[in-house]
Amino acid sequence: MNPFDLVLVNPMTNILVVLARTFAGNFGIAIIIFTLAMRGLTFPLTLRQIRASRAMSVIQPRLQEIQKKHKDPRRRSEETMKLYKEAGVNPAGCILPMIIQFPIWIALYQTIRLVLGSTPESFIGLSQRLYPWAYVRQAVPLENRFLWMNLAEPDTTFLLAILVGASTWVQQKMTAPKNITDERQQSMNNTMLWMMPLMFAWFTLTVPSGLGVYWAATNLVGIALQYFYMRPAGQTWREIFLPAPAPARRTAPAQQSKEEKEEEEEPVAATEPAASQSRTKRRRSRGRRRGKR
Amino acid sequence: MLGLLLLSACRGIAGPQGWAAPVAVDTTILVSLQHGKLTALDQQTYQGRWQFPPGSGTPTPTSTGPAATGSPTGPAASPTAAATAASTAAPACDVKNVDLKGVYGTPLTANGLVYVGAFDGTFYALDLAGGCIVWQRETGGAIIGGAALAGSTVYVGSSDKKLYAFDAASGNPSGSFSFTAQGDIWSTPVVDQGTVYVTSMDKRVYALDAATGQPKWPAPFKADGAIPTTPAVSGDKLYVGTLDNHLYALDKATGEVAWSFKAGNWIWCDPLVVNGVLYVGGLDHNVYALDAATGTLSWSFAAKAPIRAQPALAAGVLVVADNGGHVYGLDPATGQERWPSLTLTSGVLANPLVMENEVLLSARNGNLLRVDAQAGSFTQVAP
Repeated sequence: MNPFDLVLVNPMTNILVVLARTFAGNFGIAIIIFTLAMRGLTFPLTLRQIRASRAMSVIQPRLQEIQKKHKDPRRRSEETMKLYKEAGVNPAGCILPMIIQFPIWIALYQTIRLVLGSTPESFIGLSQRLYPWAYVRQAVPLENRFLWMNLAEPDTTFLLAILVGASTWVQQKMTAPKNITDERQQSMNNTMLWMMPLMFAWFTLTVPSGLGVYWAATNLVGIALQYFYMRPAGQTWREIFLPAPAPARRTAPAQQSKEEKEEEEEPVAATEPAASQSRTKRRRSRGRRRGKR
Repeated sequence: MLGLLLLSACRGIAGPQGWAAPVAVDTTILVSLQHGKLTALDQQTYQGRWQFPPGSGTPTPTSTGPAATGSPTGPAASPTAAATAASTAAPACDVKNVDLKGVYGTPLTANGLVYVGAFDGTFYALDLAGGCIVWQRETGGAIIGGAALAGSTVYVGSSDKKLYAFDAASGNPSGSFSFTAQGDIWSTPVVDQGTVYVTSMDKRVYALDAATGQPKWPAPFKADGAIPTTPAVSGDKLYVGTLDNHLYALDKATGEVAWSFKAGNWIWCDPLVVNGVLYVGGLDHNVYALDAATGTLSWSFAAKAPIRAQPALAAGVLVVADNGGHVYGLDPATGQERWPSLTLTSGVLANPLVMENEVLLSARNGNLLRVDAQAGSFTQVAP
């Protein structure tokens, strides 16, 4: 057995089986609780990633300026690094947390596939991964029914696909960078905003609904985290769903108003774990803006 | 990252493959060489006679004999060199929109008919001569087990938790028989002296009146794990392996436990009882020989992979195949290896078929292999 299975897939498989047996054999609830737990465990990484992305987003106009201004790649690189240093941005900060989370998500997919298998062969495979605890071994077979779905089969009612598609769209919308000035990038972002939800909805129609439940759960948790911990100060649901503003033709970082900068930088500060502190800050921020007006 | 995630998701969950054991009847061997197909081969030449349902994968006839062989010192020659099966034009019957998905239960043959249940939830009675459907009955779930015949009634369990009894000739529901378990039925029922014994994934073993389906025991036997295995009846006992790692010997009349034996993992292997010795393989990679009367362990043998296929006794050698594609020839009295293990190109989950001094194995990759139990060599006979 490979180390990936030993370290990640097998423990996850056993945890899911324990959860399912604990919750009256309900595998749907086990998936949801497991997803919550995994999102909780990887929350610090998610926060770091979002912070880094936001910081990159803030310096994006200046980066584009450098790209336009300096044709020499060496000089361009030097200026870019200088900018990163000035702004205190670590470009690896966006990628590294994602890379660390990557094996966890892959293992989770594999676990769900393994435990949800409804063919006799899948049980033979499962027997080699379960720990020798009676509580785990005697839990099989698990109940595949959850709400209206058979978790081992694709959901044919379209309800789950709609839920997955819609929640993916909302999450994409919430995380999409707001101050993109490049038309091409804006257009690409808009395409992704629709493509991703459609793709996930389509996948939900073709894979066992247990995976769909996982996608929906992870999206909904992501949306909640995004809204309560990482949204820009004062941003409302209405603002989240407003269409993105048309990209500006010209970019001048110096033209950014003090207030804009403050708003863009605030999410980094607003990601403190204490929600109450975050709310107080937002109230103060609103008050400041009203005062300026 | 997203692409890889989607790729991972797209792999989905593996579909059913099937592990139907080969069966010999008259001059025909019935075997599932391809997923979701049942093929009839000539017993002498291994040329195909018919395939159900017919499809593009129907084997083509060749005139050459078996070619791929193996021995303890090396694997078989290339399967592409194997002569095989042949055949065949599609049977002269109209078979449309049939997708068996997988065949797990051993086909049952009687009175010129082949009874086979499929993962698609349908139970079929086929004409042995041509593979045409004589009758078919839908059940509410996948059929994993085989069928049992008693008199003019054929019994088959389904994943809809029901045990069905059909008139063997017409397929009509048989009399007043009715039985529903609390879990899926994945095993083959066993009929003995007017009693149908059937196991279920609800962790129970039931003894039912063959005519009515009424329980015969005061209460069904309940294990701590699901029971997908087919029980073995011998003397006054019923032997059954379970997913609570135990093999139980039950009193046939009352369902009370006579003895039990604990293995290191699930026992999904149908026990073989010969001359008072019970042989069973475990998913813990071990083969066990137990005294059928007391459950005392005579010997055990450690294989290299989990064992699902029932051991077979041929020419005084206990032939055991594991899921890793290893075949062992053991002394049934001591468990010592009679010859070095053979290595196939694929694992074996299907029960073997004993043909005099040889054992026919249906491997997971669709190869049909003939193992010489005395010599410890094998020949790939199909495809």
